[in-house]
Amino acid sequence: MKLIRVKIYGFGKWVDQEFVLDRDYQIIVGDNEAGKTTFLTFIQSILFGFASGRGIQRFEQYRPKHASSYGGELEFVDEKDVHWIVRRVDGKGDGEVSIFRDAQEVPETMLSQIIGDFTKDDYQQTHVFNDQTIRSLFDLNEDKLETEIMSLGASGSKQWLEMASELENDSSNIYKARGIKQPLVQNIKKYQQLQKDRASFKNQQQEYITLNHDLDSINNQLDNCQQNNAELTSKQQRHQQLVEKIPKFRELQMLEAKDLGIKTEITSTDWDQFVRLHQQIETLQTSDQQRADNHIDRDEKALLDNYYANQADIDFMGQRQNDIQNILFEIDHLNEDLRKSDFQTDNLRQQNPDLTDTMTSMDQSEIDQLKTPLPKGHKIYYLGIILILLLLLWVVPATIAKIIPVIGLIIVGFGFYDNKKVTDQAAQIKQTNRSILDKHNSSGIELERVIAIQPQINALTDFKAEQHQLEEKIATKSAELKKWLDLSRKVRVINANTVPQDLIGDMNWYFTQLNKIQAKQEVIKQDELRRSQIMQSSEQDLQQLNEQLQILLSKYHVSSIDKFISEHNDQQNNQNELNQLKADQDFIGDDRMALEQIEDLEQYQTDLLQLNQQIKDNSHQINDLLTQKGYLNSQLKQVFVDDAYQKVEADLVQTRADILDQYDQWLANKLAGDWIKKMLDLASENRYPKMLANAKKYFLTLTNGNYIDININKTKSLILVRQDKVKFDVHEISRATRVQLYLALRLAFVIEINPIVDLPILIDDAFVDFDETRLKNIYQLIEDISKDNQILFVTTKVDANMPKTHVLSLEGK
Amino acid sequence: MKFIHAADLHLDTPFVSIQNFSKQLQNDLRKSTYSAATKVFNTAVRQHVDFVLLAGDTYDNTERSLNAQEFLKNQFQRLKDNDIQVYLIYGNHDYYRNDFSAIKFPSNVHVFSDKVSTEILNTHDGTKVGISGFSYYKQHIEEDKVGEFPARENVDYQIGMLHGSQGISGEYAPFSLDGLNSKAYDYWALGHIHKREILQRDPYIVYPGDTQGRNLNETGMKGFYVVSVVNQQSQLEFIPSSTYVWERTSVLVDQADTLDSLNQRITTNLAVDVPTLFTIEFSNAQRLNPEIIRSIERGDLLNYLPQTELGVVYRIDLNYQPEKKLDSIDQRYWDDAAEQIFDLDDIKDFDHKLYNLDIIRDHIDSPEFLNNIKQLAQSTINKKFIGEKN
Repeated sequence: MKLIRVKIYGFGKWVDQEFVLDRDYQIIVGDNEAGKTTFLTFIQSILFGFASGRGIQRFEQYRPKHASSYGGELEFVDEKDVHWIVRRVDGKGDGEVSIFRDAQEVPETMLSQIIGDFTKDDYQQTHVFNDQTIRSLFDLNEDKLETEIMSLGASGSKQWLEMASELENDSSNIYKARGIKQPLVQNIKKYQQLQKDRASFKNQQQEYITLNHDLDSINNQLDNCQQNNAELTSKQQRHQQLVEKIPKFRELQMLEAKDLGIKTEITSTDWDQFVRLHQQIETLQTSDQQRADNHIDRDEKALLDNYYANQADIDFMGQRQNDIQNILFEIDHLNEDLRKSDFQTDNLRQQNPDLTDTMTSMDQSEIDQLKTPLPKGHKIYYLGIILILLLLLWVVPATIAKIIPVIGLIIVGFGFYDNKKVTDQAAQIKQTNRSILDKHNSSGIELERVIAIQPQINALTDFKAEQHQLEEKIATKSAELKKWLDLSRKVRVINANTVPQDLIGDMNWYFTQLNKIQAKQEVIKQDELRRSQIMQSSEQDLQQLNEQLQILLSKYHVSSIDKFISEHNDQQNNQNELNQLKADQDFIGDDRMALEQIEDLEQYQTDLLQLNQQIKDNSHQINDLLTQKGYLNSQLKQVFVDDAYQKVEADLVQTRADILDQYDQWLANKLAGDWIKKMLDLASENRYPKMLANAKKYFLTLTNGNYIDININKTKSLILVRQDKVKFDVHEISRATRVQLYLALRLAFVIEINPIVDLPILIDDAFVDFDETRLKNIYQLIEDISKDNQILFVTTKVDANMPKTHVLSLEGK
Repeated sequence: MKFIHAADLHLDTPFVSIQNFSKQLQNDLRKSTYSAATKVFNTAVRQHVDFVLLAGDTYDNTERSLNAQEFLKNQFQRLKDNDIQVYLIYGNHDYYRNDFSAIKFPSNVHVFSDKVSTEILNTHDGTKVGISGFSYYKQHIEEDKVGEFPARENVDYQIGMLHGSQGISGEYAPFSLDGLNSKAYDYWALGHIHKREILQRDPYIVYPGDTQGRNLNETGMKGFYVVSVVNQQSQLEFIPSSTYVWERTSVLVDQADTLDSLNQRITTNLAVDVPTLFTIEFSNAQRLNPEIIRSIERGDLLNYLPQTELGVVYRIDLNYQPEKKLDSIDQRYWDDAAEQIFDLDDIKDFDHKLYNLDIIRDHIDSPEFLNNIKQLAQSTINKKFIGEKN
């Protein structure tokens, strides 16, 4: 495809421009900022799409500032002379594209007829040369440049190589054979540790079998022990039974050894009679004794007789004993109060010696009267006026002075009258006061003092009244007491000469005596009653009773009551023992044989203790076994709980999965890198021989005829042949020459893939640093290459070597 | 007569990468192998089968299986109470070792030894059934065990129980269909392969698959077969038993997608009838905004997905496709290079330390390995490629 026409609607600084291009090559000349690069970018954009507004690309978007429409069209012609127009205008994504074949619109997909499967990146990496391309070559180190040169057989080799090295890097970030920190290395370590952890767990099944075995053995032992226990317990019970019977057995043996034959037996009737008689006799004898003890003498009799004679009075006194005591107490109390009052009166008198018993208290009006002050005379005022008048005599005119004596006289007269009136009034008051004092027997004492001792006068009066009252009360109580005294004496409760103070004591003594005698009398009465009862029931007296008793005793040939009783007791004991014997026999029952068989009965006791010990030991053993069984059972349950193991197992499985994931990623990265490199190798290997024919030609031109040949040796290294036939490998040539080699090969590659992709080579001032000779060679080269592939070359320099016919100047456009 | 053919119960299987799930879900998952097994035995009782065949790998791990043994003992006792026999062989996972079966099974359970032997059984309808089989006593059996199976006994119906994989050679009692057919049995009850597959219909050679999916690769409803035999004609009924089903769903994404829209796309996929753990695969991930890709890689999307009743997202995978095929001018070289690069022997030689690790060795030996790695490498390159461009 040859690009023959470029029509720009609007792109960067270009608006509505149309360029017609030469089919072989076109040199486009223009100053800086003339829009050369924009022009080349336009071609790429129409072919592969507008740059997006994002990232670095936005600088290549070249959206026009002034034109209304964005984009334009490219017209190509193919080898069959068919015209293709690619039109791209503003639209979604990278622009809206339309394709025309010979002015007929065809589907968008027909674009591939022009660009093949190339992307913009592919195109830039193969067909586009600019100063950046050259500069980046100079920046590479020798090895990299060589690698790049060697892999030039594939499109985009430089990027592929970078990617391969990145992938290698990614891969060693996951795993390195001698690494430590890489995740896969770490996980492998973890995995191996987990395997060790897992191995450290006991064999679960083995543990279960062992535990079960132990449990069976324990259960057997337990059965044995429990059986043993049952036997021992029954033996123990038997022994216990026998041991309990031993005391009774001994008793039985003892009783059986005794002679318990029947002797003279006292009948129960006789015994009952004996007891009755014996009791009656005893009662009578006791009663006689009591009678002797409770004798009432003459004095006592007299007292009693007197009492019964005056019973009403004496009982009344007895009832009122407390009242009498109260009277005595009250009299004492009243006397005490009187003494106190006397003492207070004495005190009052001592403190106020001028106080007499005759003084009476005054009422308030009298006191006010006594307080009335005496009127005073006015002599001093009158003398003052006379004196003033005398002074005036010296001062006033004579005419007036004549009346001053008159005035003086009047005043003197008035003064005398006034004085007399005051004196009369005072005499009258004094008279009244005196009569008041007389009335209250208080004369002879100062007026003020009289007023002052009024409260004391009142107190004295009160005390006197109180004393009087107390004295009256004492008299009444004393009279009352006298009445009691008289009565007591009369009924001879007290002696005639008993003083009132002893009254109570004597009365008490009297009543005590009386009670004692009365009690004695009562006992005598009771005794009499009992006696008469016994007499009545047996109708016998003591003598007769004794006789009957003797008859009873003689019946049994017993000499005394005591013996009879003892005989009866023996008989009773004998009977008891017989009963006991019978009870013991019943109690021991069939065990008698067992007890008689053994010589030493203590043996049973010893055996029992031994058995008890054995049972105790046995149950200890059972308890131990039960504990062991419980422990084993819980262990057995524990065997099933294997959370810790499951955790390790889960970790292990997880780690295994992680390892495989990481391994896959590691391997994929590694293989991807290798794959890329392999692909580059293969591509270069295949294309190089064909490429070299062209490359040799270009290299010759670029080196100005210095290098005449490029070969590949057996180790797939390039060998360069200088015009003097000396051979060099890539390392040995200068850097500038290496760059020329690279350019030669890359251009050769474009020619090589021309049958697949036939698009113009775009060169944007790539050789600006070249010297005159080399530039000349470049133009030569362009002409050579353009025979196989169209070239668009933009530059600022107008050069003499330029074939004028192919130059398109942007100046003036 | 009627019997159940189940295999690979894998009791006590631990589940991977479930630590972010709720405790309840984690628990239910851990119990799921038991729930599935219970379903097998419930079905046996409900359908009044004559016997149950368990064709190996009943335990996931024989080292500590007391709980599983206790569970089985109780279940087997139940079967015994219902007059149902059990025929059990051990597989490569639960191969027999000393002191392994600590808990004794009831008398209705017949466990085969490492030598092929035959049990005879008269079913309720009077069918005389012969059951031949053997157990693993080691982890790997490379020798031909099929040859040891006896010729058909004098029975009405002959069953062979075999835990192994089809193939000329291999570590798991390799067999061929011809070999099995040569025995003229009526039914081959296989175990070991977790994917349900009827290898042949006449006579039946059947993998029932495992009873509960154990990881994201064991997708779909799992279960077992109830086999009804009338006049020596076998009829198979599949009974599902998974408590949780694993599914893988691909979601096509494009550049317009946001976290919200992705969330919605996932959620619409979660409407299911049975509890399901989804692995969501975003295809064309290269079209997503790099910010969104980073966010997904951080786990943002997974953590903020709404919880639905039954559908749960287990994992989100990003799958990067090339926008165009790798540059077509070089495609030939890519393909040639791939052939040389993806070589199992070379991969094994990459790193001895890694290859010496049993899990990695087993991983490499798994049949899908190379293909998966190639896809992953491709996806990695595709991802890098967009990384470059953006």
